[in-house]
Amino acid sequence: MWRRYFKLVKLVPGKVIVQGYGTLDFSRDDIPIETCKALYETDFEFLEITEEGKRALYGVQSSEFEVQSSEFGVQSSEPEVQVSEFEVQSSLNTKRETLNKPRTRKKKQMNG
Amino acid sequence: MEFTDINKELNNGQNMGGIAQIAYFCAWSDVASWPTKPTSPATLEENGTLTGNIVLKTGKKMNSIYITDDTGEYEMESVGEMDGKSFVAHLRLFNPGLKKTLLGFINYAKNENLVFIVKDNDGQFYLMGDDTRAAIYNGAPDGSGTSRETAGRRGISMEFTYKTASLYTYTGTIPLTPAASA
Repeated sequence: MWRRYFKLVKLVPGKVIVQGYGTLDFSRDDIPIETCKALYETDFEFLEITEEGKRALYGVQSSEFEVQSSEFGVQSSEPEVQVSEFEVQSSLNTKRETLNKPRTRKKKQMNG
Repeated sequence: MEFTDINKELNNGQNMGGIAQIAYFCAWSDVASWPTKPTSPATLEENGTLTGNIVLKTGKKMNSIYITDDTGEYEMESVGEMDGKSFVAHLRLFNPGLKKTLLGFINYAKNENLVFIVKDNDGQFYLMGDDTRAAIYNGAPDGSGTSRETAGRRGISMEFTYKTASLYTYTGTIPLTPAASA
C-alpha cells in the first residue's frame, strides 16, 4: 500500500534500521503509510513521494506541490519566473539606452 | 555555542551498561558518503551528534556480527598530550563457534580497514569510521581458539579501534539491504 504513495530510492528493497522506528523492511507491503510520511517529512533520503502520494497525503496537484513543498527542500519554480521577468526588464532598459545613445553623440558632434 | 545545564538525563531511570548483541560492519572502502560532523554547532547536543546517513556504494550493505552476551564493550579512551587531546574508541567482542565464516572475517579484517556501528543498551548508536579514518583490528583481548577445558567455549575475541578527534552519537540509518544506483 505504501508503494502507491512513496518510492524507495538508492536502496534495493529490504531491511533498513531507522532510529526511532526499528527495522523497516521495505520489501514488504505492510509498512504503515504514516511511518513513511513521517520519514519523508524528516528528509529521509531513501523515500520519494509519488504523484498519487502528493494528491492523497497533501491534497495538492503536482505543480502546486512543487511550490508548497519548498519547505521540504524541493525547488520552487517561482525564482525562474522572477529571473525571466527581470531579464525582460533589463533587456528593455538596454534597448532604450541604445536608442538614446546616437542622439547624444550626434549632438556632441554638432557642438564640436 | 550556547552552553546548557548538563543534568542527570536517564530515560525513566534506566542506565544499563554494555552493548547490544549485534553490531554492524562493512569495509571502509565500500562507503560512498559519510554523515557530517558538527562544524558550527549551536548547542552542546548538536556538538555531540553526527548528521545524516552512512551511504554505501552500489551493491554494498552493512552486515551484522553476533556478540556473545556480556563480552561486548564500546570504550571511549581519551589520549594525547596537552593541546593534542583526542580519543580512541574501542570495540571489544567475542563471537562463538570458530566456523569458516568467522575465520574468513578475521582473515580479512586483520589488515584491512573496516567500519562498525555499535548500539549500546540505551539504544544509542556509535559510528566507528569517517572519511579519513577507519576501524582497524587490534587483536584478540580475550583470546581465540578452542579453549582448554570442556567447560570453556570456542570462538574468537576481537578488538577494533577507531581514532577520532571528537566523540559523537550516530542518528542515521543502517542499510541492511544493498545500495542501488540512484
